[in-house]
Amino acid sequence: MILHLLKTDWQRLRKPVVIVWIILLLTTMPWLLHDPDSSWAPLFEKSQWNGSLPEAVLASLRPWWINAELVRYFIAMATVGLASALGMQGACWQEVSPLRRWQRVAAKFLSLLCFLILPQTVLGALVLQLHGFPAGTVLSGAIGTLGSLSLLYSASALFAYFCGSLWTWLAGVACLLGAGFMLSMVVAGDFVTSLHPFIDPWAADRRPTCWVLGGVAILALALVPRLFRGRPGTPLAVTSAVLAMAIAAVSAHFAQALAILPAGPEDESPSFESISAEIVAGSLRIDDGFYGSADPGTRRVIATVRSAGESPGNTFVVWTSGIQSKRESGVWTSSYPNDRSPTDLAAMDAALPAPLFRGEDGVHFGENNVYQNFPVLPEGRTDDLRLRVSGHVFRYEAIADLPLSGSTATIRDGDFSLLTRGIPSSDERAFLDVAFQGPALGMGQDPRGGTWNPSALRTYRFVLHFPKERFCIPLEAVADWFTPMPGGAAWARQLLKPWHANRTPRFDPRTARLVILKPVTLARIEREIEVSPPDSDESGPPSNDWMLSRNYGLGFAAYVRNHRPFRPDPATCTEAEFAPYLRTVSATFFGDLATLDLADYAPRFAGLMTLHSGRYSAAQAVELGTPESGRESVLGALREDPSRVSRMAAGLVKRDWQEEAKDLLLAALTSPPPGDYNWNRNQGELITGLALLEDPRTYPALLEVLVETGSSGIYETLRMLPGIGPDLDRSIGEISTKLSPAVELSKTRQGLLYGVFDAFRAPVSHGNVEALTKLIELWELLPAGISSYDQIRPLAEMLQPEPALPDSVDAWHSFLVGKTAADFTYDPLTRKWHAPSAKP
Amino acid sequence: MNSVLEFHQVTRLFRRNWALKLASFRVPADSITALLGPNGAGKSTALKIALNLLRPSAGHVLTLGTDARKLGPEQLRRIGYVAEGMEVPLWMSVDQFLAWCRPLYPTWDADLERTLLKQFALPGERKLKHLSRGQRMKIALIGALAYRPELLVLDEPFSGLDPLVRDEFIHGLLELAGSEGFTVVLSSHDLEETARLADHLVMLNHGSVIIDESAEAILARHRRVEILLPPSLGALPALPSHWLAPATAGRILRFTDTRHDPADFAETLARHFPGCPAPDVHPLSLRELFVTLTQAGRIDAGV
Repeated sequence: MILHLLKTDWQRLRKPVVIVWIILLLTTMPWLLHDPDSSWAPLFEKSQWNGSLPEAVLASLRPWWINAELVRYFIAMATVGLASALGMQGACWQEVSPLRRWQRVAAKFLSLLCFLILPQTVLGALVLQLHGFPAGTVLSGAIGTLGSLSLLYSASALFAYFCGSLWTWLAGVACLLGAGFMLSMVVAGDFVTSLHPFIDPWAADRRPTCWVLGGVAILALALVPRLFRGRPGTPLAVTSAVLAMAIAAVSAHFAQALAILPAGPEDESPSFESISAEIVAGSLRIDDGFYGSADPGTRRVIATVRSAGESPGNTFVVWTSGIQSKRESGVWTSSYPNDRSPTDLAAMDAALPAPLFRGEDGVHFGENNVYQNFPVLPEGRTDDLRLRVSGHVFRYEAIADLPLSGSTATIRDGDFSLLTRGIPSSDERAFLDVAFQGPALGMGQDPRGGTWNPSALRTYRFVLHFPKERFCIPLEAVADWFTPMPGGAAWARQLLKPWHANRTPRFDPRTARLVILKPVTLARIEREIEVSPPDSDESGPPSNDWMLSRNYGLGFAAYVRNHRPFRPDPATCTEAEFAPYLRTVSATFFGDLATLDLADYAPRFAGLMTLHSGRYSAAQAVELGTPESGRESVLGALREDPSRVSRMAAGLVKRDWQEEAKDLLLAALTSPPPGDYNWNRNQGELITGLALLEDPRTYPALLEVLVETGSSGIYETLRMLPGIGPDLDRSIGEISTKLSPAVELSKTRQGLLYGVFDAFRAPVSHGNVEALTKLIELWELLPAGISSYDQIRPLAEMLQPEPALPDSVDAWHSFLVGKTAADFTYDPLTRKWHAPSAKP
Repeated sequence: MNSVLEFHQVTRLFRRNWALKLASFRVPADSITALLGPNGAGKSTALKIALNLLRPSAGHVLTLGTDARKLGPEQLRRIGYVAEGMEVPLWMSVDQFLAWCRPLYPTWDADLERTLLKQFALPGERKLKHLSRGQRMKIALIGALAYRPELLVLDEPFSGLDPLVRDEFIHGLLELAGSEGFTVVLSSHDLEETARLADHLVMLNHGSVIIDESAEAILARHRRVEILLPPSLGALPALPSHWLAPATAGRILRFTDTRHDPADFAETLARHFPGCPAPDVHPLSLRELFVTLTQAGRIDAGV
C-alpha cells in the first residue's frame, strides 16, 4: 500500500521531481568536476557577509558560475516547494480511503526520501568522495545531510499539510519566514546572516536549519488547535509529532545532535586524553576590570596551571565563561576566535622554530603557562555572581613548514585539506592565499575555547618564518570567503597579511617559510568562581589624568586587593614562589606601587626580573631595586635574552652601567634582536647610552641610525660628540640627498601639516645647502590656505629673518616668496640661516 | 429491522453553535434514507460524524455496528462516500483515478466499474480537471460504488447538477440500489428527487431530529383536507392540534392532518362540524409536506 501511494506521488510530481534532479545535478557538477589536488579553491564563492545587505545583494548579482547564490536559493525554493507539494495534496481526497495513518505518513516520507533526500545525500557523498575525504567522513557527512534534510523536508511537508492549500501555504511561509527572522534576530542578533542558511539546500550549516525547524514547530503548535479542531483521531498524533520535532530541533541546536560530523581537531587527539590539568594552589585570581578597559563589567581570570605529563612551557590555557555580553553590529563578541591574546601568542611562540616578532605596540605574552582571558559578566548584572569558567588547556603543533612561493601546496590534516599559495608580489595587503576544505566547517568548534566558530579555518594559525633573521611573524586575515559545498563540507578561503605589515623588521619575503600551527587540546579544567559587581564609587569619574582615571583606580585597587596580600616574602621566598607573582604583575600595569613592590625582590632576583622586563614595571623595578652587586645578574640576563636590552637601556644609563653594557647596547642598536617589540620605541635610549661613552668606535653605528631615521633628536644627541664632525657632515649630506619635498609633503595629511618640516630640521640646522634648497621648494609646494602659524612654527627654528617676523603666516609667506638658498647665510653659532626680511 | 447507522443522543458544537443537539435516529439496512432539513440543520455534520471525519461533542454513532470514532480501514472498505464539492485528484485521468482506487478495496468489481463507466459515459483518458462538475460526481460515485459498499453516504449529491445529469444519476443510483442491495444515506435539498429515491426520511431542524420514519408512513399520515363549512356555523371552534396550518377562505377551511386515520378523522370532523359535507382529503407530496411544516413553524424556512 505504501508503494502504491509512493507511485501515486511519483505520477503526480514526476515532472517537477525530474526538473529538481536535473537542477541539483547541474549545480553539483562544478563540485564534481573540481579537482582539489590540481586546482585552486572553487570559484563560486561568496564573501563572508559583514552584515551589509547591499554587499550581499551585489554579491548575489554576479554571474552564477562565479557566485551561485541565486542558483542555490532557487534550488532551495524548488526543493522545499517540492516537499511542501508532497505534503499539501493527497490528504483530503483520501480521508475516507481505507488507509491507515501510518501508511500515509510512511508513504510521504518515502516520497521525500526517494525524490529529494536521497538524491541530495548521494550527490553530496559523491562530492566528498571525489574530493578525497575519508570514507568515515563521507559516511558521517551523508548521515548528517540525511538527518538534517529529513527534518527540513518533513517539516516543510507537515507544514504544507497543515496549510492545505496553496494560498494558505504561501501566507504561512511568509509568516514563518517573518517569525523565523524575528527569532533569529532575537537569538542570533543578525538578520542578514540569518537569512542565508535558512534556505541552504545542502544543510552544510545545520544550526539555522534547526531554527527553521524550531520556527515550524512553534508555528505548527500554534496552528494545531485551529486546524484540527473537531477532526477525529489527529490532535494527539499531530501534537505529538510536532512536539517531537520541536524537541528534536531544540536538542539539535543545543546538543548538536544532528552534527554527526566530527566536531573538530580536539576529538582527534586521543593520545592526550590521559593528561590532567589543575590550577596551582593559590594562583587563581579574579581581577576587577583589566588594563585599558573602560568597561568595569569585565573580569579577568589569572591562574597558573600545572598539567601532568606535559612540559610546563608548552601548555596554555584559555578561559571561557559561557557568558557573552556585548553586541557590535549584531555580532556576538568574545575573546575568540581570531584574537591576539597573550595566551595565543605565547602558545604560538612556544611551537615556532624561531621567536615570534612581537610588534611595536607592546603586545606582551607571558611565559609557560600563565594565561589570561576575559570572561565577562552579564550586562546589567549588579549582584554577586557565581560563574562557572572553563579552562581549555592546549598547545600548538606545527603541521607544516613550507617554502613561501607562488606555487600551490596541499596539506592534509585529517579531514582537512589546506591549499596554500604565496602571493608573489610584495603587496602589503596580502602575502598568502589560503583555502581550506573540510567537513562541517560551518559547525567548527574552536578547540581552545569551545565557542562557536563560523569557520574552522580560524583555528589554525599561519606564521611566516624567516630562518635567516631568526624570527616569525603571524599572519592575519584581510579578507575571507566561505562556500558551503554539497555533503556537509565547505570551502573557506582567506587572504593573509603579516601583523604590523608596515612596521615589521626588514625582511626578504622570498626567504620566508610558511609554518602552519594547529591547536591540540590537552585537557579541560572547570572552576566555579565568585565575582562581585563593579564598584562604581571606587572607580571614580573618567579623567584625563591617568593617576585619577578609572582604569588606574581599578588596576591599583585590583593589585592592592587581589595580589599584594598574596605576594611572597621578598627576603625568604624561592624563585618558584616569586615567579608566578612576577609574571602576574609584569603582565599587567598596576602602577607605581606594584613597581616599588617588585623592586623589593631585585636584590635577589634581578636576573629573573630582567628577563621579564618587557613590561614597564619589571624594568623599572630592576633599575630601582638592584644593588651594584646585582649588576652582573642583570647583564647576564640581557646576554641571555638580548630582546630586553632596549627596554632596559634607560635603566642601564641611569645606573651608569653603559660602559659594562656597551657591547649589548651596540648589538641591540645595529641589529634589533628578534622578538624585541620595544626596539623602535627605545631606540633613543640605546643611542643615549652609547653616546654617553663618547667612543668613536660606536660612531658609525650611531650615524647609520641617524641616516636611516633622519631624526633631529638623534642629531641633537650626536652632534656634540667629540670628533664626530666630518662623519656627521657626511651623514647629513646623505640625509639631504634623500630628502624630497614632494615625498615629505605626501607623508602628511592635508590640513595636518604638523611634522612636515621634521625631516629637514637636522640637515638644515646643520647648515646643509641642499636641504635648505629643498625646504624652500617644500614651501612652494605647501597647499594654499594655511592659516595657523603653529603649522609653520618649525621654520623659525631653522631660519632667522632679519629683522624678525611677527608670528604670522602672511609675513612668512612674503618673506619666503622668491627666495633661494643663495639669499641665506648660515650662522654655525645659532645653527640658523639668516636672510634680510625687509624689502630693499 | 437492522440498522447500518445509529445516532444516539449525538451533540456537536461549533464554538457556541449547535450543529447537532441530542440527535437520535437510525438508518435501516437496505433503505435509501434521506436526511432533510434547512441549511444549517446539521445534515452534513451528521454524515461526517458517521464517517469519523468529525468527532461528536457528546453521544455516539454506530456505523456498520462500529463506534464511528473507531472506524478503521476494515470498515471504510465497506463504506462509500460522495460529497458535494468533494476533492478529487484533478491531476489524474479517469482511468488513473480508478486504478488508484482499485488496490485499496479487495472487493473491487472490475465488471461493475466497466458497467458504471459505460453507463455514465466517462472518457477514461481524460483528466479529472477537464471534467465537468457532474462528471466529477459521477467518477466519484463510480469510485465509491465499484467495490460494492454496504453503506453509501451521499452528501448533497445533486447540488449543481443539471436536470439531465441529475436524472441519470438518480436513475443509476436506484438501479444499483435495487440490484446490489446496499444502503444509501443521502442529504439533499432537492425534495422532488429525494421523494423519488428515499424510503426512509430523517428531518432535522437546528440539529434536532423532528421526524424519523419511513417515507411511506410519513406520507401516509399526512393529508391535505378541505372542508366546506356549514352555513349556520358561527365562530370557528377550537381545532385539534394535529390539524396544522388551518386557514379559511369564505366557507372553506383548509388544513393538514398530521395523524390521518380515516375513521378517527370522520369522527372528529363530525364532532367539530356536524352536518358538514364530506371533506376533500388529498395525500401530500414531500414538498407540500415541507411547505406545510414550514408554514406551521415546525421547521425553518430555507429548504
